Amino acid sequence: MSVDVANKTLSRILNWQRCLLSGTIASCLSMFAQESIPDNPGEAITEMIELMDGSTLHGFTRGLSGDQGLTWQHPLASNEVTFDLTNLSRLRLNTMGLVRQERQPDCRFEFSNGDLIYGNLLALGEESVELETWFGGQLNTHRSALRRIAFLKTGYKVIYEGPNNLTEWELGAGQNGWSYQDVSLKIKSRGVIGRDFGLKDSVNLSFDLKWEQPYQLSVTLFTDTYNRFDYRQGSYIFFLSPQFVSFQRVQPGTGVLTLGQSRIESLNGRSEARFSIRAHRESSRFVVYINDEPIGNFRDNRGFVAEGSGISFSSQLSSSSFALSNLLVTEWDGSDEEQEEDLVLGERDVLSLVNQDRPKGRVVSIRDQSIEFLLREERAIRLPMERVKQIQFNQTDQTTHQTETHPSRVRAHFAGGGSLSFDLLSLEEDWLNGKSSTFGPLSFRSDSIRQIEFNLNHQSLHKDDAADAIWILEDNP
Amino acid sequence: MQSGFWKTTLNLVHFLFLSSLVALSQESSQPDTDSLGLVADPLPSEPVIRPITVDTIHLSNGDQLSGNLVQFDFPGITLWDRKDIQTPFAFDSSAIEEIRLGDRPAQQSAWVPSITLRMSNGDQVSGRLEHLSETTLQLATHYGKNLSLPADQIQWAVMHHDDQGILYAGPTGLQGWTMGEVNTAQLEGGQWAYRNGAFYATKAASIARMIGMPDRMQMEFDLEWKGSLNIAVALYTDYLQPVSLAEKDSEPDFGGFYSLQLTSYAVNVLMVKQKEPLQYLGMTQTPVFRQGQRAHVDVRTNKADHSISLLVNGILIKRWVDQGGFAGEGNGIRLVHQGQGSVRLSNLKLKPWDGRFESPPTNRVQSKTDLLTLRNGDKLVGRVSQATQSAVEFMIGETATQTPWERVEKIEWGGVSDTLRPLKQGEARAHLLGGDQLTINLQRIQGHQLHFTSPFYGESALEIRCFERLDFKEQPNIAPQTTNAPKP
Repeated sequence: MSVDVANKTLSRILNWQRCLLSGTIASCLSMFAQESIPDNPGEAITEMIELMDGSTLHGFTRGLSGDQGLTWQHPLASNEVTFDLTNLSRLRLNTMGLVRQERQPDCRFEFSNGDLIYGNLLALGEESVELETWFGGQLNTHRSALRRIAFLKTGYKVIYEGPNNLTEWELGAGQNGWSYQDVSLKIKSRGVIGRDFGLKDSVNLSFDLKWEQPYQLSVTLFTDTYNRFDYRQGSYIFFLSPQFVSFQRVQPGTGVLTLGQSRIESLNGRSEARFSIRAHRESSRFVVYINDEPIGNFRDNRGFVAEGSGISFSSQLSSSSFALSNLLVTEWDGSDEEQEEDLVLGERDVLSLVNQDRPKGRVVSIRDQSIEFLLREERAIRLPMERVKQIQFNQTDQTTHQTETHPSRVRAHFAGGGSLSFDLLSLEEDWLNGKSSTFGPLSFRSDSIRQIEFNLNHQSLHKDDAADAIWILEDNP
Repeated sequence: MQSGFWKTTLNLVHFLFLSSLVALSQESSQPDTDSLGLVADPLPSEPVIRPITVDTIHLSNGDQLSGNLVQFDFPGITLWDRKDIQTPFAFDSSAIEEIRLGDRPAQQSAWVPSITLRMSNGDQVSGRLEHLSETTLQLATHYGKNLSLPADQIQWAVMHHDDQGILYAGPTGLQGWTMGEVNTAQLEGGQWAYRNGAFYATKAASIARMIGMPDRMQMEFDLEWKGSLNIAVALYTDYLQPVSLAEKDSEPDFGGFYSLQLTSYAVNVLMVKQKEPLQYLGMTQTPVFRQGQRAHVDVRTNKADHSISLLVNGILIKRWVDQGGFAGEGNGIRLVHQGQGSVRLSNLKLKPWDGRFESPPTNRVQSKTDLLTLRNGDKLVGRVSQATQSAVEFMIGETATQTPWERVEKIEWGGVSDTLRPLKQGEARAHLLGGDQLTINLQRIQGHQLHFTSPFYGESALEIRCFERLDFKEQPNIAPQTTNAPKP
């Protein structure tokens, strides 16, 4: 064992001990390591802040605390400046990490305060739940904080997170308007860009799209040709515009067939949105979500014809101007995130089983890969976990949450997906400390966090207006 | 490489996209809740109408920051303050690309310039001519100072005449305008806001007023947009509320009008009458709307020949003729933002039109003579020798003629080469309220004063309240106009 490796191992052990001894959920990064992947050598990766009035600034965090605010060094300013938290919208830490965990997360935990965690369920009892995450080790909380657990059949496997630079992508030949800036792929004209993701049987491609001009973006899934359109090979193409999503199959020898189209109403007057495009080979299903709302649900009745393993993005308009960021490519188990209105929620827990049954009752416990369930709160049954897709916990037990108005209430978004909200205490060296109403004291390594949102209640109000920075109609700040 | 097959596919998608835009680009194409027999939503709350006291700075690394300009020194630093920071930023002044200045008191004035001059470096200066000699032109400006301009660097001058009977010039506020209610099932309604000599809309919004439109009319305005452009201008309307075109027959009674629809993808004129089918007079496109972010729009109407003409940046885009006769029954205008993107509308001016398309002034760099164009269309070739407040002396051969300014349309000087070039370090293109722009070496901004030097204008200090924007780097979309389209 080399000295470096030994040091790293020792460091990991110390971190783990710190995690255990402190009683907090300090990140056990050494066990569930996130290893930084350097970007282009020589290209400084700066952090960025976004303010609620639409201002954006690159720079570096020199200090962060709930009391003192954010101290910022701008590269073009000679002095450090401290912002109070009242007008902060977002701090992008631009962590270039690759999530590596010894055990693949197989659950998506949704909490009643909006927190979302991918991890593994260790145990669930009448009062408490224990789970394990790569970024925070073991987390314990009261069961009433849980809104839903989705059991991911094939696990939650992060295939890619980025973009991290332009060199990891293949650009179309000739004139190509794609560029890389601020952890985003940007384009102001036509062009194709793509790469191999090693896709096999499913994909969930998520990305933020921000546009200044109307866009026509085509996303080709399961292709092996990344730098142009190629109809000699089977693939699936989604055409996205602010008004429509159109879905086509490309099949050699057969040609191209439009399999469906959906009108988009939710993007009127907006300039950014988060897209999620999902494909599943076994069921030949394809789903498009925009801002977590299902927009299109398609199926290829001829079966899944594509054989490639990559994805390409193509801008169709010479006058386009848009950016792709926060790309996350994961596998998809083919199940939908059931909308709560689909389930008749009340005082009982609802199980969603693989055979589509939805028994109601009370989940007594989950241990040893089986669930003890009190059917209609009368009859105790025990089910193997592989039969359960999801548990929706009854609402009456759920903790009511105070309106999150205090500026120091932040939401951290972790590399690989998932987010936690907590009251920000301080950033000390590389450790971000806070206190969660769900999990109590928290401590994370800052390099496990991609971005931190501030003033959570104002996000939805100001997020889209941020594009109109020079036309601020409020006297703000 | 795109095959024919792919082109077909993409064209299909493009067609669908365009179709959706046409559907949406009507004044208010979606049925509103009222028309469905439901209770309409209340009128959207008015935006807070307060002066924009914030300035915005754009830096060379792409950052932008709102706040307040405290002091600028070049060379040196720029102090930039905000309410949420403890000490001001001290930015390197050479790293600034643009400063947009917020409202400052008493920006609007009733001062009307009588002449607009174009300089060889692309500057455009408006004011009142005091005196012209062989070497200098003395110009009184609303900036508060008289400027002394080098006469040999003036390329052209366009006169503005009071007797043209301006029907409306503004906006100067919301007074006299009627806010409309844009309430559709699909669009979030908002309202136009007035700021700093301009109307702004970031959501679907309508504003209208009766103006007393003559049979022949010229309407001009400046448009600036972010995101997609999608605005409808109703001409000769008698109804101050937006009309849902899809449900027009169930709207309250209104007279016929024309809807000029300006979008990123198409320009259209619709004839709109109740109980009659919508009539599209024809669609065209302009790359300015598709690729740009600002334009000078000039609309000419003529009831006698049932025509509506559109000029964008001085270029005639299309002339529509309604073969069924002129359908406009009112004398008002209505501006309806469709909700996509956001838009700024300024320098709106309506006046009678003589029915003649004037040729825009040109730079006669190859000519050794000057050209004086009279308002009656006559053209005189010779030399401008001097001018006073009341008349210009023009030499035709050896003969001097005195022509009162009220008879002059424009003067185009000969042999004045373009000296327009990209800005150098330390130079700024200063954009003033009203559309003028000056190229200056900006030295300091402190308090209310902006101190500069210029080879054209010498050393001077002007009131910062007169300025809208300072560009330190040429930007493609806002480069000085080269279309020779004056914006009086």
